[in-house]
Amino acid sequence: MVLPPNVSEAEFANALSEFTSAVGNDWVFSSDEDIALYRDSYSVYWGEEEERIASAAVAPANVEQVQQVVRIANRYRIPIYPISTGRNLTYGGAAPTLSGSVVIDLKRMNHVLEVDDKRHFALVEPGVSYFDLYDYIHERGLKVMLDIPDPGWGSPMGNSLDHGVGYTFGPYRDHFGSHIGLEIVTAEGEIIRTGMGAVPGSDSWQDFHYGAGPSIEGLFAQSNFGIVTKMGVKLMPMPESYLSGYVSVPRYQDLQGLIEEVSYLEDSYLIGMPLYASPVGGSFMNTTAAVRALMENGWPTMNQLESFVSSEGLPAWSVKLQFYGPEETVRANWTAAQRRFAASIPGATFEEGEFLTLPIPDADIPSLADKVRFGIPNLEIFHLVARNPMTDADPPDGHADLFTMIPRKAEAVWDSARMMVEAYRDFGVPPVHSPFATPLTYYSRTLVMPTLLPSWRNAAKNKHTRDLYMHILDKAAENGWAPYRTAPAFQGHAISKYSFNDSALLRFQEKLKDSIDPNGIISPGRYGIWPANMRKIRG
Amino acid sequence: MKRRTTLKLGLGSSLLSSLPLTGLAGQISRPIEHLQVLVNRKYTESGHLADAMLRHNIIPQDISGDLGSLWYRSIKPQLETKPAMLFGMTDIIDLFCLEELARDFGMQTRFRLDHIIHGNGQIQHVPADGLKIAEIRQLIPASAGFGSMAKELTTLALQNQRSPALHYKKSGPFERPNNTLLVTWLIS
Repeated sequence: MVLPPNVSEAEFANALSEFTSAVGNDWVFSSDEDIALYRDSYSVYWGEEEERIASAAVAPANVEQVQQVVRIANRYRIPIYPISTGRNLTYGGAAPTLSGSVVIDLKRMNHVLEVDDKRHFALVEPGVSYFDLYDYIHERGLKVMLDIPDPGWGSPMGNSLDHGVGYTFGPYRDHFGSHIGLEIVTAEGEIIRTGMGAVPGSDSWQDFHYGAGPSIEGLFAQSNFGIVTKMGVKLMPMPESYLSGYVSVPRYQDLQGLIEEVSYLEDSYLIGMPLYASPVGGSFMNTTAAVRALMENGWPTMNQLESFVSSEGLPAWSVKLQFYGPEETVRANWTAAQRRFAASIPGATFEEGEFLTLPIPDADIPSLADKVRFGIPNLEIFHLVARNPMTDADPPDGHADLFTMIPRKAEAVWDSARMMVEAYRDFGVPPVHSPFATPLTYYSRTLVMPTLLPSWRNAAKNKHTRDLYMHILDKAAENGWAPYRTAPAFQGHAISKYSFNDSALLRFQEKLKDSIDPNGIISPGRYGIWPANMRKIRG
Repeated sequence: MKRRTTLKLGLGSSLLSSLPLTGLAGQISRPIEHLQVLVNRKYTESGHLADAMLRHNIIPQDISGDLGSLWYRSIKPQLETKPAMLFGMTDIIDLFCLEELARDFGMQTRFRLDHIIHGNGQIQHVPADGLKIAEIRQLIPASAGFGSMAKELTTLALQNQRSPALHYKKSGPFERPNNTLLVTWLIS
């Protein structure tokens, strides 16, 4: 058994006994078998001493029990690590940031408290999954659409608090950005409600999130300042229809114009998630043999790239545009988009995609491709990615995602792709990027240059992955790029890149930590924020 | 989600007598209330297992659609009202997802037998630690159609539950190319 740091076996036994009194005998888990359930399937330290292992897990049923658990943990100075559903693979899963922590498994707090399809919000507890919320809405015929991540087994709350993202319309894809009101249990066991929730009797908690005075909600995302026990979610009114259209541009350097026009449409709220591709360059993170040959003598010049595109006879870039709304407006927006692209990019071509009436009829859902664009939760992603060109040669057991945030500029796309290629080559690993690598668009006002590094049930291979991950992080930071989230194993290193003015941001966060959570019990080390009593073990 | 009850159901063969499993290895004549059988009819051999179970009045649940839909709308509600063990033959992706989902009920993989169907049609059964291949071969052939006999593995699985350390989260969801990896498993 792993014990919490600086806690004796006898003290821990007493604490477990008190946890049991608080939540009931069935809901305190401390056997080795129980603890194995909370291992991170994608851990890059699997089976090694550094693998993050819980000491126990406790599953409270309600806010009052969360308060009791927090107070007990405070008395015994036991680190706790709250999870909602604990299935955020690649970002730690159910495993704590610090070994020996007691996982607070909020799976029993799984009530959808309210969904309003006139004011377009939901109020949920942590253990509500996207499937649960979807079914609640669907069974009642409520006219709202979810924005969900992939896979859909996570919780709206957990995903939002980890800055998770979705696939529909910009304001909803940013899941923390679309939260509306939090209830938090502090490290001292006090309950706070944010925004209008702080006004007794208010009926607008899920309508206006500022209230008056400073907003503190951001302190509870990717952090360790409290345990969120209720959260409002802004919901999209169920659109009447969906239309997709494809824009292709002929030249390599047309990427800049493409990005500018897409940004105009996104920032004007005229389109949903745009999806970039390179018809000539290959699919996401998978280059063609011709592109690999082009890269054999180093990074190609612009002239070489333009010649290559021209010789292949395929468009250099394309983007899939997605429109949600009444048929009249989606068709008008598609027409307007074509006019703008045609005016700014000579040779741009257009192809209309799917037109669908929403909501999708039940009978059509099983065969529907790409369900996430309609907020329909599923686990199909595992079958889609489980066998692919990247993994076929030697299938890994999981992956660690490294998503670097870059500005919406073609130059940044190219430079970040080149950085990835060179970083892989530094490690003797065949690069998966190329001059035609396309960015992801999870957040509407930034681009993401991603890479997925494999994790294994093999220590030597995992070390290689960790070293490469750190190397890419370092190279990205040299260019001013950094990830927006990462697995616990890399959080400290990632946060070290946010170092402006001698890491003033982190120092400020740690001052808050010391004040709000003086015993440092909540998720020590999460996103690099260590309490004073553990700061010496940073890194 | 009263997972303690569920967990205890799966702790060993001494409890078998409390389950309506009599004669499982031979003839199954009535439904097994405490065992939910999951198959993936996308795979021929898993379909054979489903058909064999049906012939014995055991209605398997098919996860050839989306596993998430089946879990949240059928398996999970059933487990919440009546603890059960899960037995099935699926691919490793399904097993991986089921392991993650079953955590909510304190359940984990306690028996695992891999079936590798090579591109050339050759079939190989790979038992996990503690199982003898000879014992496996007495129950199922190393040839096409083995799924029809795989119901015989139910008793073997129940009697050979091991520490989850041997089976649980043995791998992630990623598959090897050029063959199909099916797994017969028991989650309890």
